[in-house]
Amino acid sequence: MQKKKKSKRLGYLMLLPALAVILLIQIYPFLDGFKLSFTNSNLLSPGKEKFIGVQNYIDILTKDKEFYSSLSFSFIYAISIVVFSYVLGMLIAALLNMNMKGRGIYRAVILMPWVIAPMVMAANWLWLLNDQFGLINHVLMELKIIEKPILFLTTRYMSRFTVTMIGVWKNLPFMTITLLAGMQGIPGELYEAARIDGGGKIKSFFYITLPSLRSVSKVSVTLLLIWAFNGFENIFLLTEGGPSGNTMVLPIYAYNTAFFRSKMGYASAASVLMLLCMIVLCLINQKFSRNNE
Amino acid sequence: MKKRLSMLLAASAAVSLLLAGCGGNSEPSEDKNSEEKVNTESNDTQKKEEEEKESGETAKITFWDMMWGEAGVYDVAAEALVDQYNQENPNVKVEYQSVPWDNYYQTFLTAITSGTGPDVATAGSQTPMQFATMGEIMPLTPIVEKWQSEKDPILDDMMEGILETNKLEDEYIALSWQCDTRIFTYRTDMFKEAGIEKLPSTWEELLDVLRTLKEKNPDVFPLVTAGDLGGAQNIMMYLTVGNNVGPVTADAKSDFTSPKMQECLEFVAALMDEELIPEATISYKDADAQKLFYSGQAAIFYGAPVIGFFEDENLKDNLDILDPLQGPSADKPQTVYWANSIAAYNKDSENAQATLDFVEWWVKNSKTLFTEGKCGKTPVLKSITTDPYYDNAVLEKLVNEKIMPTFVHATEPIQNFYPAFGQINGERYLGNAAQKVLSGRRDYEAILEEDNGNVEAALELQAE
Repeated sequence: MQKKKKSKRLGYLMLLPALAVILLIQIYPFLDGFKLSFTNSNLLSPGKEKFIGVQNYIDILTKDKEFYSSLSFSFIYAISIVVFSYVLGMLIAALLNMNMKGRGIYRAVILMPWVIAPMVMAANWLWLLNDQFGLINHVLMELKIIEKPILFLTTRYMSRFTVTMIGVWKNLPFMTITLLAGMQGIPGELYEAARIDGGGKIKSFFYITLPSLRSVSKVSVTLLLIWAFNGFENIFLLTEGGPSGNTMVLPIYAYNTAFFRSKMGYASAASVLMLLCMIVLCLINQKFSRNNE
Repeated sequence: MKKRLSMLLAASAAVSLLLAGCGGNSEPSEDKNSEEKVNTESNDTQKKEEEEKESGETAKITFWDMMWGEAGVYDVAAEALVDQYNQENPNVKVEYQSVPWDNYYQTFLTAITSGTGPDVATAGSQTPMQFATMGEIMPLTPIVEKWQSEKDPILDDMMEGILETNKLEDEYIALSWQCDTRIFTYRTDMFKEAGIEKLPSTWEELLDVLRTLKEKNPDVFPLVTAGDLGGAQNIMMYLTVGNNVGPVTADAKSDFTSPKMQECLEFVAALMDEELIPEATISYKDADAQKLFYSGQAAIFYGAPVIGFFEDENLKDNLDILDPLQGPSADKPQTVYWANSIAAYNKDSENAQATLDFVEWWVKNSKTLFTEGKCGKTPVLKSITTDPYYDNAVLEKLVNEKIMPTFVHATEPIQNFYPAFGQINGERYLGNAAQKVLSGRRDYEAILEEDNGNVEAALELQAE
């Protein structure tokens, strides 16, 4: 009994350094940022910071059109990335789960977008998508598929579509690998039994594969939802939220508010609202998953 | 329930990182009257430094310098200049650090507010003013006062009015050592082919030239420029200064909805509607526009002076720059320039006098940054432009002779960097308006009205 107690104490002691680091670099700044959201803190007016209650929240929610346009695109962006990544990831994972030649190579290749540095990724995509010397337009025009270059990052809807698709491309490997790992954990006997009972591949997929992947799907979808909603570098490096704010998402909006407008209190309030939005998204996802169980 | 909680915790942790970014040092500045403090303590500091000199201790100064030219050329020349200073001043050790432009303001902001910033730095033109309003700058007024009392020849050597660009109330918060501008570089061979002999001197004439270029050579874009937010901002800065207007009036009221401002947007619209610039301009970064010009797909390039074009074997014989242009509401040609400065960013420096000495030395000895560092900017000291280097530096010579005489500061109609300029320029309200036009909107009044509130808010904030 005493040995068990001692072992427990040792466990807690060993947790302490990690806990201290988390408290220092995450919890404290989080609480400080939360506190800041109730002030009029402005970098350009040091010493004039005062408590203003929920005024920042009221201003954001009642007057700030930019916040709402960023919020709506953040939702569209995050949900689109999750949906496309999940569907495509499932498809690719199912293919990679089959016995085929060079499966290892395909699995390595599928990881490529995940490991490429964001800066390199953005520079390459900008080159690929350029209207005058971009490879994609060049190939499409050579093949006579299009007559004039597609302006990928110029118009409102096209720029939104383009940054979303690049987001899907970037996040697809995560979804694919996670689902593939889940598929490999499904016992082969289940498929064997289904085959004996006359179930085809499609039925096996819907009645064995999909239900077995429920837990993996729930975790991966939630994580991707959080990452995509919080995603900053993808859009920032491609368009900086432009043109004309068309691809502005909440993280870039909060960043601009904090560092260009110097309104730290206001930006903190926007970040807190972002947190609330993300919680709502996660709850909806949980509810949706539970209903399907 | 546990699972749900863990999901929510994960979401909270993710956003906490963002909040953490906002939750920087929010403590009020320790000393609102830092300038006074520096003055009153200067004697003590000087004494302390003298004692250090006697005791053989070395005063350390951290110097952050932006990459003002090509990497491997500019920074080498700058570091050599610092080495020279260190050799001439054995009691001082200036540590040189080259800083890239990407997110430099955030780099400065984070470092300075957390007390790990540089003692001295060159940075973006408006940066000293931004930090001065935050109370983080050590004024350089003692240097200017010394020059004035000693009747230092440098005062006559400096570009007219340049000292005042960095004056905040009665203090000089930075000293300019070079200027940045934007120019139209054009292909003389393409102009010749199109039969254009007279260079444009007004916006309307420029449009005519562009129309002629388009008509005679439809395969080539008449004009290319960056149109992303930064690029659009630079276009508008050029146009507004050229049209004798700015986002604010001389008495610091918003002038964003001025008819002159509308003329600038109409000019941008004309470029777009008549297809005188590429349709995708709004998504172009400077490198995209340069590439089109370099590859012969454009007749005119608008942007910063690019020395590389004028040194390129294939291009150099067919290049020139356009004359300064006059806007429809201006009475003479005017070209925007930004005064780039060196400033002391450590208001509590223990080596205040050594810092001032180094800043003064840097301004007076900056010649090699142009002649060897090839930073491509316009020197503030007129004597530098008489250096033999400029006999062969085609582009710099052209800018100095053609453009410099029409220089008007970016803060027009206010002479100096005013506190709200940091936000107005940093938030790129002008660029935002231009981007709306580039994306097809033509309701100019509404466009200007949309950002007018932001300009007014910035001015109000500073007034508080």
